[in-house]
Amino acid sequence: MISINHLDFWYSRRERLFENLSLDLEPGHIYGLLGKNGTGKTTLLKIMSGLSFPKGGEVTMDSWIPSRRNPGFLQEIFFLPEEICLPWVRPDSLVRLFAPFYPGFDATQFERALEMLEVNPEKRLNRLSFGQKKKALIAFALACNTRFLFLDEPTNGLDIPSKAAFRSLLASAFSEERTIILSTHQVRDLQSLIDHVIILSGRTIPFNHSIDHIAKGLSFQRTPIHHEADRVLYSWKTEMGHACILPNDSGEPGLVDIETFFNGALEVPGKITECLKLQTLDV
Amino acid sequence: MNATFNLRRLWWLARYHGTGTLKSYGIALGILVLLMIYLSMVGGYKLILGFFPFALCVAGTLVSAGIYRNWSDFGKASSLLMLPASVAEKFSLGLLFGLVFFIPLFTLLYLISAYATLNIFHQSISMKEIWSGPTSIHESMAVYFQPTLLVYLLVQPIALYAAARFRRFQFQILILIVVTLFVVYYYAQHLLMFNLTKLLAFNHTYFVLGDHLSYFTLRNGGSYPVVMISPTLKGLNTGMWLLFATGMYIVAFFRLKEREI
Repeated sequence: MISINHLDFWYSRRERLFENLSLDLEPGHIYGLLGKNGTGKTTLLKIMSGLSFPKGGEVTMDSWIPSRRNPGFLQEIFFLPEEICLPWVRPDSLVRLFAPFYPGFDATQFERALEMLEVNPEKRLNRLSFGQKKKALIAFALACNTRFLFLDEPTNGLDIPSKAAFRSLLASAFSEERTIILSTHQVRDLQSLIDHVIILSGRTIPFNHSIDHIAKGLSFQRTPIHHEADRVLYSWKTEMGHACILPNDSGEPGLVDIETFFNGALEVPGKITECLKLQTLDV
Repeated sequence: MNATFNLRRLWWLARYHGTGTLKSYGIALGILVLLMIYLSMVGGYKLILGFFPFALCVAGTLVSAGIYRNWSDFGKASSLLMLPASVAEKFSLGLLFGLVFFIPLFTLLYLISAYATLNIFHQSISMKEIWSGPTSIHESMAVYFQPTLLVYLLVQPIALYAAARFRRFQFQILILIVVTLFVVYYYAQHLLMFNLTKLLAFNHTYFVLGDHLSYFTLRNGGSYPVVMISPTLKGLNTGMWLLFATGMYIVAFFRLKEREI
C-alpha cells in the first residue's frame, strides 16, 4: 500500500507544488493520475519512486521509505519516465544487463511483449525511433513484475496498433498484488484500463475516486445539441457534439468519460464533489 | 539480497556501466596514445615524464566524473538511481572504474606507449629505465608516481562531488575548484617559505612532497636547490593528503546519497 501523509514539496520556496497532500493507494488497482501541465504529476511519481525527497510529511510504500532507496524497495518498483535513456545495446541485451536486478523478471513475458509491440530484438536501441525505444522499455517494465509500476505518459510516441497492444499487455500483466499508476494526458488511450481517477490540482488532490463511484454518481452523455440545461452539471463542446455530465439519478452505473470528468472536475469542482458526496450518502 | 553492499550487484552495475562506455574509453585511450607519439617526437623522455601526472589526473577525473554525471541527467539518472542496488554500490562503481581499473591500466598503457614511442623516435631505452629515469633518480616515473597518485586521490572525490552537486557545467566548476585549491596551496607554501627563510622562493618540483623538495629562488640568478625530505616528514605529508582525500570521498558519498532528480 502507498501512503502519502501531509506531503509538502517545492522546487522554489516561493512556489509550493504540494501542500499538505495526503493519499492512500491500495494494491490491485490501475490508477490514472491526471492533471494540467505543471501540476506535479511527474514530481509525485518521482517522490514515490525515491528520485525526489519530500520537504515535509512522509511517504511510505508498504514498509519502505522511498527516499532511502533501499535495494529491496527498488526491486519492487519500476518507474518508466517520459524522457528515456537507454544503453547502446540490443533489446535482448537489456535482459542480460538489467534483469538480474529484478528477481521477478520473466524473460518469456519480455519476448512476448516485444513481439506484440513489434520491436525488432536484433536492432540496437540507439538506432531505434523514440516510439520503438519506449516500446522496448515498456516491454521490460512489464516483464519485471514489480509490485509498484509507475508509467509516465506511456502512450506518448506509440503508434495506433501499439497503443492497443500496450493496453492488452498491461491488462494481462495486472494482478491483485500490483499497484499501477498511469500519469497521462492521453486519457482516451487508457480509458478502458483505469479503474481509479486521481486529479492533481492546486497543490493537492481534490478528486480521488474509483470509476465505479463516479459511474454511480454521474452520468455522461453526448448530445448533438445542448439540452436539459438545468440538470447539466457541466458540458463542453467536442467535435462530436456536446459532452455533458449529469447527476446519475438512476444509480445504475454507466460508462465514464474520463476526459469530460477531468474537465468538469476542474471547471465546476463544487458541483461534481457535491454530486459524488450525495452518491456516497445514498450508498 | 537486500544488504547495503553486495559484490554480485556491484558486478552487475560494473557490467552495465562497461557496456555503455566501452566505446568512449577506447576513444580516450586512442587519444592518449596519439598524444604520447606527439610528445615523444617533440620533447623525448622529459616531456613524457612531465605529462604523466597531468594526463593521469585529467583522464582519471574525466572517467570518474563521467560515471557520476549520469546522476544529474534526468533520463540517465532515473534509470541509474532506480536500479535495485544500494547507494554504496553505485558509489563504489566510481571507485572501481576510477581507481582500481583506471590507475594500473593507465600506468601500464603509459609505460608501453612511452617505451614504444621513445624507442621509435629517439634512443634505445629499456622499460626499467623509463620507470626509474634514464639520467636522474629525482626525475623519474617511479618518483613521480606517488605524488601523482596523492593529487589524483584528492581531485577524484572533488570531481565526484562536483558531478553530484551541480546539474550543469560540472567539469568547468571542477576545473575552477581545482585551480583555486592549487593557487591557494601554492601561495600558502610560498608565504611559509618566505617567512621561514626570507627567500623569495616558490616550490618548484611539485605541490606534493615526494622524497625531495626542489624550490625556485631568485637568489644566485634563479637556482633550483634540492632538499631531501626525511621519511617521517614524508609520511606525515602523505597521511595528511590521504586524510583530506578520505574526507572528500565521504562528503562525495553523502552528496550522491542525497542526490535528487
